[in-house]
Amino acid sequence: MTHDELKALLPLAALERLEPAEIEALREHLAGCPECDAELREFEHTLSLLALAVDGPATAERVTRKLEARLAAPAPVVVTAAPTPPSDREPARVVEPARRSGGKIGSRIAIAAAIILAIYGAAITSRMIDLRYAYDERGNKLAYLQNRFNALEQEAKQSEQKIDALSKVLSDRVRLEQVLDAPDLQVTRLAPLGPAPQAHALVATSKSSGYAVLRVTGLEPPPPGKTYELWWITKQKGPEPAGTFTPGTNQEFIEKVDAPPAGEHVMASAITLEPAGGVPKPTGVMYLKGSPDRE
Amino acid sequence: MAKTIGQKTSDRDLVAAMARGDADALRALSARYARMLGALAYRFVQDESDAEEIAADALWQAWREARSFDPSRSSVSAWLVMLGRSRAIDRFRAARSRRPPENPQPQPAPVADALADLEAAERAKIVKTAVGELEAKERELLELAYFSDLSQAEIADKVGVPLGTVKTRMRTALIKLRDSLRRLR
Repeated sequence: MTHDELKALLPLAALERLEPAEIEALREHLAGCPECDAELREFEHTLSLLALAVDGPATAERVTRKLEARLAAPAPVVVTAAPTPPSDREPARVVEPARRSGGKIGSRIAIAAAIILAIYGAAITSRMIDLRYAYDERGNKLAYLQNRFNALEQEAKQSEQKIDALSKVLSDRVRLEQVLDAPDLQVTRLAPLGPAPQAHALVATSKSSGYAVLRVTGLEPPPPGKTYELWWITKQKGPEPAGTFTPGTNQEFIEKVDAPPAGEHVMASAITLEPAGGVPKPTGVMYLKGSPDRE
Repeated sequence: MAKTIGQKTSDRDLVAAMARGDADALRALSARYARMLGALAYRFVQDESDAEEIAADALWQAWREARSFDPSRSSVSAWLVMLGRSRAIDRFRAARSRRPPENPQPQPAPVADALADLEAAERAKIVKTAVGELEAKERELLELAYFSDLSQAEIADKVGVPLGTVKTRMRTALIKLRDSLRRLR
């Protein structure tokens, strides 16, 4: 893709509305193009201004109170290692000879205290190790559940996409039938030109319903960064965009397109290959062209 | 030497102070953006309490991640909006999977805030003027693209135009909005 084609993707990139292949191409381009990188930042900043101008319930005070509560809460204690038993840390005290003035009683108390401390310390150490294991185990379980959740979420998303695609196919077909049944049906048949000798297209329009539907067969998917665009060639304004489309690998492709501009006399229709996202006036190679059937 | 936090302290300086652990900087940033982040979240979740929680979450995340904020990559407002919008979309998706859709609650009238809101109100006025300069169909698509969780195919279906036209109009609308804001600011 050229610099200009990639630049044309920037607004949709800021809106997070690019296809995966476009994202990848743009990412590579941005790494070496400060101009596009700066422009993308500007679009993102524009959107943040749009977001911050939204009206809604006043919440500042309650949000601030929530933050104050979080600031006041003690930081969570994280166990990083099992503590060393006191007996290990200060062995000299346990075996230190009793002071001469204390005698045997003092010495026995000191030994007893050391034993109690050692036992207590060991018990605490053991308990902390248990807690540590339990903590780790919960962490592992949580990570497993998180992975499972992510996988299920992914599956659900894929299913939703399939349903969306099927719904679209169905609604496109219903729409085409509605237009074909319209009493004021107007059909334009587009014949193939040099670049796509096998392709054929038909545009059915109905002014009363305001619908226009395009049916294309035999047209290859466009190259990366490109799209097909349909045009109404009018007497007064010349070519007017009727919508972009990207046929897949299926032989037949049906898509709703923009109806001809009101009040304009359409002399012909054409399909050209244009940069992704479409352009306001044709710039690319013409693939198909045709005039409306006589009424 | 650390600067004193005040109304003229820039957003960037506030975030830098947050990175040093200055809670007053977080309070100041909250005073500037909490209401707007709440309003943004409300567009998604349509629940005032959830919206407040999302705004607090976004600011709290900014507090924790202030050290990783890179001012050369984005403005503070864009960063906060990104955090708030991501959390709002997450909350919206989670809520959608848990319960059937409800009728949106009526929005209570906005309560006037203190001085911190004056600048924001002025900025909002400029943005609304710029948005008002868009054609209605462009404005509708831009708002659906940014303030909803709908896919582009769903948006195309909702507004009754082809997918390719949706993309073209989104792009045109954002370019126009940017150009208008350049002129108005």
